[in-house]
Amino acid sequence: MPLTALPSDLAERLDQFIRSLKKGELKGSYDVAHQTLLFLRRLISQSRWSTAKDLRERIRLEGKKLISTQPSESAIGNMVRRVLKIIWEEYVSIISGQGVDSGDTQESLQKMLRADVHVDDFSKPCPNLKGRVIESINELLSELEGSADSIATQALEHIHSSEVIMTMGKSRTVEAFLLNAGKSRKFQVIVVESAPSYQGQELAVNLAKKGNIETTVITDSAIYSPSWLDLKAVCGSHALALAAKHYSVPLIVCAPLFKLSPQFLCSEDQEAFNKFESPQNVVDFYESDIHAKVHIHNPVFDYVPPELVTLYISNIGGNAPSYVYRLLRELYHPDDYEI
Amino acid sequence: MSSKKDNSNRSSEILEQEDVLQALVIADSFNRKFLPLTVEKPRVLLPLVNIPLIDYTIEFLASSGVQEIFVFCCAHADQIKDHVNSSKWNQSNSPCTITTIVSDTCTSMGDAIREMESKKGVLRSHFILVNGDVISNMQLKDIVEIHKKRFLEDKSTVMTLINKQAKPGHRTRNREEEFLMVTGPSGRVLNFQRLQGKRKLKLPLNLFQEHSSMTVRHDLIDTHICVCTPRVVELFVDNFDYKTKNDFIRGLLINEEIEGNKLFLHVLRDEYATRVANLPLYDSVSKDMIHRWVFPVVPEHISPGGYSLRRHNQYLAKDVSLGRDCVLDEDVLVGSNTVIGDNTFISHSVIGSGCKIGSNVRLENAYLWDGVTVEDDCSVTFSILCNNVLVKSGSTIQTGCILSFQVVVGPNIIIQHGTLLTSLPQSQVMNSSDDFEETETSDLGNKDEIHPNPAVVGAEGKGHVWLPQEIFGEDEEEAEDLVGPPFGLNVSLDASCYDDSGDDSDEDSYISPSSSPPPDDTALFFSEVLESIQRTMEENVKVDNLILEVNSSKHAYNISIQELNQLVMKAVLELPHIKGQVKPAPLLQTMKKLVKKLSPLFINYFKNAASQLDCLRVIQEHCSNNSSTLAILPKFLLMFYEEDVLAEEVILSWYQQVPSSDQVHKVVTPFITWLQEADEESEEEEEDD
Repeated sequence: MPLTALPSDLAERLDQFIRSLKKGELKGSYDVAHQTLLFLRRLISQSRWSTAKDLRERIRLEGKKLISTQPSESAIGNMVRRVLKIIWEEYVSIISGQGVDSGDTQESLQKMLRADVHVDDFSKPCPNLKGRVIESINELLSELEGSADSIATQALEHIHSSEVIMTMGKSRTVEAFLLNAGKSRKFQVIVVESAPSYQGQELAVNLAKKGNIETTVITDSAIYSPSWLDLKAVCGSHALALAAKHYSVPLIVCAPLFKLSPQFLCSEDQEAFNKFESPQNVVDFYESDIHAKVHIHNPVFDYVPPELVTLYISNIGGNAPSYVYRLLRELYHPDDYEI
Repeated sequence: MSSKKDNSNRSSEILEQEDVLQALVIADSFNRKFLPLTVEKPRVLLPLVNIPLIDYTIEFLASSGVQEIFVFCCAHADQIKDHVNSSKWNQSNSPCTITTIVSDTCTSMGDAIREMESKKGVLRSHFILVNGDVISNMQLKDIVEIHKKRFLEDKSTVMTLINKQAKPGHRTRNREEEFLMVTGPSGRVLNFQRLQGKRKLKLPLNLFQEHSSMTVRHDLIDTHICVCTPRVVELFVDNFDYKTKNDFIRGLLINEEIEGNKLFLHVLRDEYATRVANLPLYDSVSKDMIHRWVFPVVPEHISPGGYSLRRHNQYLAKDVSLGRDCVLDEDVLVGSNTVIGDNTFISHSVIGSGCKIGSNVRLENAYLWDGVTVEDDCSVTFSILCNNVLVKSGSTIQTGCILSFQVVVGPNIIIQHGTLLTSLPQSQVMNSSDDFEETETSDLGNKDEIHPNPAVVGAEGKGHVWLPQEIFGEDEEEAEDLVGPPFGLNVSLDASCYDDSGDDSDEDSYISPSSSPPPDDTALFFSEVLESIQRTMEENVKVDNLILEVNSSKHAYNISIQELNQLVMKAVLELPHIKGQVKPAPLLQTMKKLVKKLSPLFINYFKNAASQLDCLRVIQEHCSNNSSTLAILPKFLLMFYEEDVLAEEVILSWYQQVPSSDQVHKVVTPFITWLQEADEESEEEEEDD
């Protein structure tokens, strides 16, 4: 069945959202994920659909549009996949709860083998699917909102007294993490300032002011220079990770689950996932002589290979890199990896 | 795909709101800089990095919150209209409404704006005026807010010009449009002069007298974006001789004291904005684009198909086929469905979609538009190849060539530097129309009249040499068009020195150096004063009445008091000449009579030292043009002195300012010496001279 057109106000909202994504008005993955979820919730409640299949089609369709506007922002795709998974779960639980299939919702090895539930093509009518899906999305939203806090509460398990922590740039999660640890422990932080945005300076100010934590700012080039003897690194760039590896210091990455993407980076070449902004912040356009002769790159992200990471701390706890596959399995449906 | 419901209701609701931000896009350049490309396509539809120029402009306006866009088109209006109507901006979900306005008769930007006046109520409030070939990533909102606030505080605010900072010598500067901008502390524009190849510029003296601090800048690019109050349209209508924005700025600054209209300048530092005004700029803006200076307006975001960005600024669209061992060096953009052959080397080039590039081809700084075919063993450097050009095997295209639409060259031919080729003979095109950007050439029937020259385009070639346009000698700024090679980085600066209006050197503030004629009001006022004085002398009217008359005409023509002083003096000086008295002796007699009679008038107007000084300057100027007046000058000054019109100190201080090389200096020296001596005697000083 072909999908009907979106109601006009929804279509307009979608356009607006796409525009703000394109313009880069939303700063940070959290905002992007949050806005995506809000939009998807609206889509589910306001668009017309009769079966779970229709709904999934609709979300795939609009999700694709969103993803293509900012391919480097994985949070959009993640949220779309999470919602698809929610629909799938709710559908299965409703269908099985009705006693049609007489099965329980728990997955068991035997059931996976028989796989008869999965054959279902989501076309059966389910009465209160909408309500339950929206309820689950609301749960997801609150999980999203609480993710920084729940990561921060784990700080005490990882940061001990009189340790030295090195971090880079500014991340809300890391800031909350360190501030939380600073409440009860005394430790030092070295912040790498991360040119050209110099967000590290902001973080340092916040840490020193709000948390009264002993903070030092160093330049990007000085990553190797501090004494790494007693150090622990939290979240950073490739350079920081390499330095950590070199000195055999643990590297901890704080990331809420909405950032965890099932997409695999097939090339380490930065262009594949990175975002390149105007070189204005690196070299002023005003300067004339240099432009014709050099390439100036201003990437926003950096790639840290997984083998350099010791531990991922997400909102549901710390995980070793080798365990990430399991998290993926829990969060996303394998069918939805490719939207 | 889901189709969208029409929501025109919503947009019409928006239109009814008061503070809709409007923009007027002038989709015509009114010049010939892009010939012969613009013979077949208007400039705003020429692709830059595979996207028509106007799309950048509209995208920029829409993303900075402009809700209503008017596209004003003249030449090739139907093409622009079709393009705009079929664009995504015209769909129901577009954030802005876009309307095309067509006029065939306009020959300048001024005409276009005057045309807008006749469409009453279209431009209701402050609006953005922009050319259809502007590329920018700036946000207008803040600037518009500042502009509106300024307007609320000072109703005489007329326009906010937006300029971008760039060092002299920057590749994105328009070499033909170098200028000097003088601004006051609040960003108010005090003086604006185009360099036009000159190395020396004169700033009027009163600039320094009136303003305690100012900034003189030469590091700006005119972005051709400005925020206008609705008055701008009226001003263009009132002054029908304004052709370009530069005329407007110049005129406004000249009339500033009379009308009090103010211009302001906003300088961009971080954001990018520029106009693709000529071919060298086409080249540098393309490169800025590829180097991502205009982020977030970068190829992969704005193109409908998208590009994947690779190391060394390589942008590849979908379905590009790269041959074995082909090298994309750096700064290369390849459009969709393009096939590139083996062993081909490409650097710093933009390649359109659906192109076929053979093996062993070398492309450097080449701009290939859609559907271009370059066969094996060819080489193209610093050239533009328009849609569907075919370069047959073994050909070489040297720097600075333009191969217009459908041209075929080769095989085994060398196209010399700076050759312009079109598919239609130039004579045919020029006959069919003499508009600025040609209207379409309709009849292709008698094509066989002139055969392509095989020595130029090759044995199988189809194309005609297009000779660069002669300058059409009109009084506008296009007169200093480039005569040299139209494309390529080596723009000759000397060619742009063509200008004949640079020799005005008036000290007086009412004629500042410019090619515009002095405003009509001043001239009218002058003739009226002249008449009044004449009548006073002939009919022996009371001088008080004359003063009244002059005062009333002052108000009628909105003349400042300083100008009035100057003009009254000028009138008195010229009166005898009108009567034909050119010999010194009778002139002196007449002057004597005049001064005697009119002394109350002089005393009335030349009250303070400044006005007396003005008066003296006018006399000085008059003398420099007129030998008979020069001859009687000392006597003349004595008369004034004796009638107590001019104070002694003023005369002395004026004398200090007169350069000793001047004739006037020599003539008045005895008088001044006498004056000083008299002074010394009266004060009983004992110094000897």
